[in-house]
Amino acid sequence: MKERRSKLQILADILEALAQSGEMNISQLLTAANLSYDRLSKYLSELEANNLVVVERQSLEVKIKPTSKGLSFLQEYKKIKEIAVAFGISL
Amino acid sequence: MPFEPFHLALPILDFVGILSLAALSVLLYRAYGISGNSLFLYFFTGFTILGLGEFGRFFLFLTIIFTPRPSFFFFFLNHSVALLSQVLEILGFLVIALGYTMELFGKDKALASMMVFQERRLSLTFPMVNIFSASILVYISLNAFAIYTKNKQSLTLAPLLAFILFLLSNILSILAFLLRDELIVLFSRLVYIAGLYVFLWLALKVGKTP
Repeated sequence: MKERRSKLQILADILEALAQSGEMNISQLLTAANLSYDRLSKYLSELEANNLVVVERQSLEVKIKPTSKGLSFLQEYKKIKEIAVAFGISL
Repeated sequence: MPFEPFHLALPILDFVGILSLAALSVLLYRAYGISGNSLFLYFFTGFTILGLGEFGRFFLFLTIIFTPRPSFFFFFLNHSVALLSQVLEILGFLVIALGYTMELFGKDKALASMMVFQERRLSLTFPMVNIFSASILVYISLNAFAIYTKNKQSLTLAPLLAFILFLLSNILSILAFLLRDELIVLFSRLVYIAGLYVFLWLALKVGKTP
């Protein structure tokens, strides 16, 4: 059975997808992060409020980009994931 | 045992060991800051206390090496610091054991097992401290092994190896006390420091994660 992702893991997955492609629109991000539209919107609002992503609303399209703060958060997350694995702590 | 120049290597090795515990503590605290998971706080507290105990030992080595003439104050200081270091070591291991218990068995069982440990701590004398430390380390090593069998990830082997080395060091200390052999004491310290270096490797590995 696949384990449920924690909120922190989902936020990191969103940032990882954005970091890999540079920028994404909503539908690309929905597929990459494997989330429903409602849940993605909720997490994106949180990421935006914490200045971890920038959401650029152009006429018909929405582009999402990671900020430098978001990228350093992702880097920090990868480190703590290693520590968590070493001590068997679930994130 | 008369003073030999190689004895100087011990405080130097010990100091690097303190730095490795400090690096690990910083990483664990940062992990707590980001995730808010209190288990990181237990491990952070445990390793910080261990580091303080290790600093006591480092200080002890330095005073032994650099004090030209033993005095009553020196005797009092050394005994107090040695005891304090051992108590801190036990306390550090207890907090780490609590962290592992919480991860594997949940909060209630963890608190119940802490009560048993605290009751046993009341009747401690010097060699008993090592026996007590060894018993906590057996418990911690078993938990670390359980984490390894659960995750099957090579990174989980680092804490397991470090705690086994700490355990071996405590067993050697007991042996040294029984045989009155100072060389075994020295060897026991080296094995303990090797355990600290495993944590240094872990801290460096995590620090280098891209």
